Amino acid sequence: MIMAYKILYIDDQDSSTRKKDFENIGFEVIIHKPTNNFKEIEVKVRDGIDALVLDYKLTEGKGEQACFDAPTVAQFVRTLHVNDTSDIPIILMSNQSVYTNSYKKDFTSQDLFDFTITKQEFNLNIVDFGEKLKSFIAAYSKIKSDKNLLLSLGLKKEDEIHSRIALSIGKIQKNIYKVSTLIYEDIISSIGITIGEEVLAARLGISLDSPDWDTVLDSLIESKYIGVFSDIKNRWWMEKVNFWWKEVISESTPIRRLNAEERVGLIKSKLKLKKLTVTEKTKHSYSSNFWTICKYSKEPIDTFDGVELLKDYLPWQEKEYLSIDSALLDRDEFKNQISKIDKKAIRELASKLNKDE
Amino acid sequence: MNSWDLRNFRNDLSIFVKLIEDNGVTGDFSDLTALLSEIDDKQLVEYSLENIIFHVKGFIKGAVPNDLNYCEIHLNHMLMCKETLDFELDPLYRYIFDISISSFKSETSTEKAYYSSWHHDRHPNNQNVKYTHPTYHFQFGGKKMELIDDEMSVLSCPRLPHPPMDIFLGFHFILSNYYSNKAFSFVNSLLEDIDYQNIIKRAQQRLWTPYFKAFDSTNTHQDFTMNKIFPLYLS
Repeated sequence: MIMAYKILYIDDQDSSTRKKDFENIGFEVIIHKPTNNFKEIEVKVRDGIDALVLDYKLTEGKGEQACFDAPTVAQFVRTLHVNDTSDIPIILMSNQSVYTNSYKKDFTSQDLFDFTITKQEFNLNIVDFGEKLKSFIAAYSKIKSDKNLLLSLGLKKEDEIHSRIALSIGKIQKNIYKVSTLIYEDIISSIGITIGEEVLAARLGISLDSPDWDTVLDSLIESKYIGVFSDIKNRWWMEKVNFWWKEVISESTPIRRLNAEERVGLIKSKLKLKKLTVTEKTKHSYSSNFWTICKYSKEPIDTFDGVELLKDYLPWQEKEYLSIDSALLDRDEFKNQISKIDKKAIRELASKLNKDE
Repeated sequence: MNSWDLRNFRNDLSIFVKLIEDNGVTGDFSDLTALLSEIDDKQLVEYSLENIIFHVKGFIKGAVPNDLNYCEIHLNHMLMCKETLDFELDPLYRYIFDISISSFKSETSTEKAYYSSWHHDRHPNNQNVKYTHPTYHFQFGGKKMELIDDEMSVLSCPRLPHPPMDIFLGFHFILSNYYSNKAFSFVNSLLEDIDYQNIIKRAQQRLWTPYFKAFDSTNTHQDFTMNKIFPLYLS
C-alpha cells in the first residue's frame, strides 16, 4: 500500500472534524494547537511532514494562545527551508475570504502560500482539495528530484523554453517553492506558452459541447502538457498546437488568419469529423478570428474586440481581456484594470444601447 | 465603426508594443509604452513621439562610405487627428514625420556619425508654391543635414509624393526599408504575423485608402485629389 501523505494542520479551534475530513480523503494528519513556542512547530515540521495547512486566525483559541497568525508561521517554515530542498507546500485556510483573498497570487506577490482556500470552499469540494494538495506534494517531490525545470514541465532536457523563463529559473532553481509557483501560477495558469481547454477550443473555433471535441483532443495528444500538476490542470503547449496545425490541418494557412468557420471547416475535413459546432461570437464582437477568451464569461473573442485588463504580465504571458459584453456588466472586480479610454467607450455604448431599447 | 476610434487605436498600440517586444526588434521603443499610458487621458488620437530610435546592426550594404556597420534611425513623429472627421477631408490636423539617420563605422565607435535624413512634410495648401508641392511629400535632408563631403550638395527638391503615416505605418516603413530581411529574422516574422498585418491594415484604412482613392475617377474627396497629392499629373 502507498504510504499516505502526512500533513500538519495548525488551528487554534477544535480541529477534530477537520482531521476526519483530511483522513477521509487519504491523508495522515497531525494536529497542532499553536502556542508561542516556535520550537514545537519546528520539531513537527522537521519530523517529516509532506504539507502544512494553516488556519489564518491562530490567536483566539482557549487556554494558551499564540500571538501571531498564519503568515508568521508560514514565514517561519519557509525560512527553515531557505537553504535546503526540503520545502513543503503550505496552504492557507480561513473562515473569512478576506484573508484568503489577500494572499491569493493575483492580489499580492507575498511569497508564502501555495494556495488559499476558505473553509466554505473546502467543505463544498473536499475531494478536489485533496487532489490539489496531493498534486502539490507530488510536484514538490518531482521538482526536487528532477533538479531541472524542463523535466518538471514534462519536456526533454534539450528542449528550448522562452528565454525569459530560462533566465528566471536560473535565480530560483534551488528554491522548490518558487519553482513550483513559477510553474503553477506563471506558466500553466495564464494564457501564453501554455493554454487551457477553453482557449484551445476558442483558437480552433470549436464549441466545447461539440460531440467530436474529444476526438480533436485525441489528435492533439502530443501537444498536451504532461508536467507537474497535469493531474489537476489540462493544458496544451501553444507552440506544439501550432505545429500540429501545420502538420495535420493546414501547412500554408496559420490558425490566426482564419475565422472560426474556416478553422472548423478545415479541422472537419482533415480529421474526417462531422459533429463539430462552430463557436459563436458574443453579441458585441465584430470578429470571429478568436484568439483568447473573456476573463469573466470565458467566451471566445478576438483580442481586437477585447477590453484589455491592465496588469503586469510576464514576458511569456499574453494579455487578458474582457469581451465588450462582459465589460458592459460593469463589474467591480475589473474596475481598476480597465483603461479610461475603454471605460469611456463602454459607457458610450451602454447609453446608446439604453436609448435604442 | 469609426476607424479613428481611440479605443481601437489604444488596443492596436497595446498589441503592437507587445509584438515589437516579443519579436525582438532592435531599438528603443520605450516611448510607445509611455504613449500607451499617456493616451489614456486623451479625447482623440494625438501624440508626439520624439525618442523612438531604431538600431540597425551590421554592415550597411550599398552605402557611401562603404564601411558603415551600425545605424541609428531616429523617428520624430507627431500626429493629431481632427476633432470632427469628415469622410471627404484630410483626417489629420497636425503632422510631423522626420527620419534622421546616423550611421557609424561600428557599434562601438560612435564618435563620428554620418548623417542623412528624410523629412515627410504636409503641405495642405499648394496654390501659390514656387515648386511642385504634393500635399504629403518626402524630401531628402531636413533640419540636421551634414555634408558627407564638400562636393555634395543638398537641394530641397524633389518633393516626392507619399501618403501620410501614423506610428504603425511609420514603423512599417522603417522596418521594410532599413532592415534587411535576410539579416534580421524579425522582419519576416513580423510581416507574416497576422496581428501585425491587421494593425497595419487598419492604419491603411484610416490613412491610405482615402489617399489612394484620389486616383479613382469617382473620387469625391476634397483634400485628397489627384491634383493635390500628385500635382505633376496634368489633367
